[in-house]
Amino acid sequence: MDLLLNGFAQVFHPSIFILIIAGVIAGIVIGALPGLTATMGVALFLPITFGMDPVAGLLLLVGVYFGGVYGGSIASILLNTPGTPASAATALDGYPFTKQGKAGKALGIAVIAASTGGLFSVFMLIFISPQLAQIALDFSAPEMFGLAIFGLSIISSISGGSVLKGLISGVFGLVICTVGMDPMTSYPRFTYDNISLLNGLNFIPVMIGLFAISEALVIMEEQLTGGKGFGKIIASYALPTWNELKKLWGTILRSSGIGTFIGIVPGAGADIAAFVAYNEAKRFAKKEEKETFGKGNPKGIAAPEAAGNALTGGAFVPLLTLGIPGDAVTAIMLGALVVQGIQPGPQLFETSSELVYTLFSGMLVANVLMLIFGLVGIRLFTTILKVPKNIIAPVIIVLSVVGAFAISNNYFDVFTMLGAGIIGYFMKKFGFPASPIVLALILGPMAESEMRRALVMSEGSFMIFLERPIALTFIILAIVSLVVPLIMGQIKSKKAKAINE
Amino acid sequence: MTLANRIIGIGLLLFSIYVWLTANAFPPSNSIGPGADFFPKVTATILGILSVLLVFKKEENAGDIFTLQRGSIPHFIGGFISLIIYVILVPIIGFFISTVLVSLFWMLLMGIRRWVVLVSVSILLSVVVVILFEYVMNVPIPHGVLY
Repeated sequence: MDLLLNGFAQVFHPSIFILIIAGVIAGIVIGALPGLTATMGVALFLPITFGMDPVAGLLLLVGVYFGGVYGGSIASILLNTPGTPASAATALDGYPFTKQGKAGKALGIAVIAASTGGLFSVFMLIFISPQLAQIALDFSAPEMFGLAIFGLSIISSISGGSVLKGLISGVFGLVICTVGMDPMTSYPRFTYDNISLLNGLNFIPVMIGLFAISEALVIMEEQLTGGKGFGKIIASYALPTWNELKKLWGTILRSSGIGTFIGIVPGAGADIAAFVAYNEAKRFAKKEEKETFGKGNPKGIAAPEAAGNALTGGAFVPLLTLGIPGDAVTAIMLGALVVQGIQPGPQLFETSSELVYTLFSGMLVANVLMLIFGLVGIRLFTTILKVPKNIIAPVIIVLSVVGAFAISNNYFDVFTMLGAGIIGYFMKKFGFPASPIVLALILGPMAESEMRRALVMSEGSFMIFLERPIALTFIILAIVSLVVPLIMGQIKSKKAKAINE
Repeated sequence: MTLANRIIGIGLLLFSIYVWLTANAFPPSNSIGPGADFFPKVTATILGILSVLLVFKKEENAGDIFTLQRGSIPHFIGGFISLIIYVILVPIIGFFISTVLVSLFWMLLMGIRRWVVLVSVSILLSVVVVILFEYVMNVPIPHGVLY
């Protein structure tokens, strides 16, 4: 508790407080622009934080992350073009509100649900993570290997439409991460005598390329095909009344729980949380109410918003306690921590508890700020949607180049980023999800080195993974999470066939 | 999409065979467990299997993959190539000038025709990024012959 209060004292220091405000506003703006995601916003803001002290830099990124996840709902509600994949669920019931001239109500419900979800998940994070870190302190190589494999299996199996394409992305990432020195013997692999490749491909440039450059190319393509102009936004700015909100608390709390839980599971992202919560809200609704989903039911806005933002706190649990990112954004956060010389993992709570609790307090503050700006700034944020995209595209390119270079002042990273960007563009076109590659680049080296360390411990016997209960549990979970979606897919396509016939 | 899947699948299969063969030359397993070749070989094998599956996968076409009309394909390729040239040019002539050029060119390609906007936005972008990163945030930016 003392640590948390001390954290608040730090957060309200003007230099840090201003950064959180800036981060939240920038996040909302980036999230609101269709196509620009929270992931991309955090990736582009990352290099700016290199010159700051760790706490300030991390909280700026936290602000961008939280604001970005909420910001996506603005475009969803007003234009029916989701700003981020996660806010696609919000569009289902949010846009009908706008059509009925009640955009203000929808935006109000969205921000209240979003910040409640966010606060809920940060409280869970504060409560759970020290305990989990305590348990994780006993993990050694076999357990860490099991965990990495579990994370990898989930990422690949649930990220996006096609299971096969998700798996291919993930395994492709695993192959790519073997570039560089072998973790045990330092034997150079696939380096082609290039010194820059000895330490492997830096995952941050890869990420900037996959998420930002590819999007700039997509924007250009859209503009050339006649650039979708936005129609006139009919907005009324009347906020929801207390009576309207009272009916939503059950939905908001349930969705917050769902979002936090999905966030804690490594690999699952905000889009999944949002859709699961939406479906649950619909399932829990009374029979006559079910009909109104998709036609402007306030619960259909509250559920995905609460869950999507509750995911943020949840995603930090595995990042801080185990050093495993919960989603693509926390993967960048991992990079931010490492660049600052902080190694996340169970020891973090012992060695840098002050930093951890300042981070927690900052997250709570960021959620409250999001609520304030969301309610006050509705008018302002709707004007963002009018920024022409043909100006945004070059800005993205330029920031990507600066960002990729800044990580280690090595221009080779910029070429890596460009390559990843071009690959990322074609991946988007052919339906391959990008996040599995990035997470594989982080979890792959971990899986390899922990596995081989474990085998040294056991003198080469693979039985070590089956003899240790926690490691075995993770490996079984990994197999289950790989097999279940495949079976579900089979059942679904059989059902679809049966219906067609 | 099925044809695209087949081509990508074959490409990935060839890639994984190449990785496997290259990894075969790495130091193999010894008494204390797998060597440098183990992980690349395992992952390449899995990738190979998955790409074969992709080759045989049938996928309904969800609209056109590339939405460009014939007339604007040169524009898009121009944007693509200018991006590559930009990345090559930055370390040679420096970030400042190349950034002005690439942003001007991209906006021009995407249909902005007002010279005031083109020139002011591209110069402003470059100036703001240099000042913000190099002087305010102390983050280095790449320089070349022309600053």
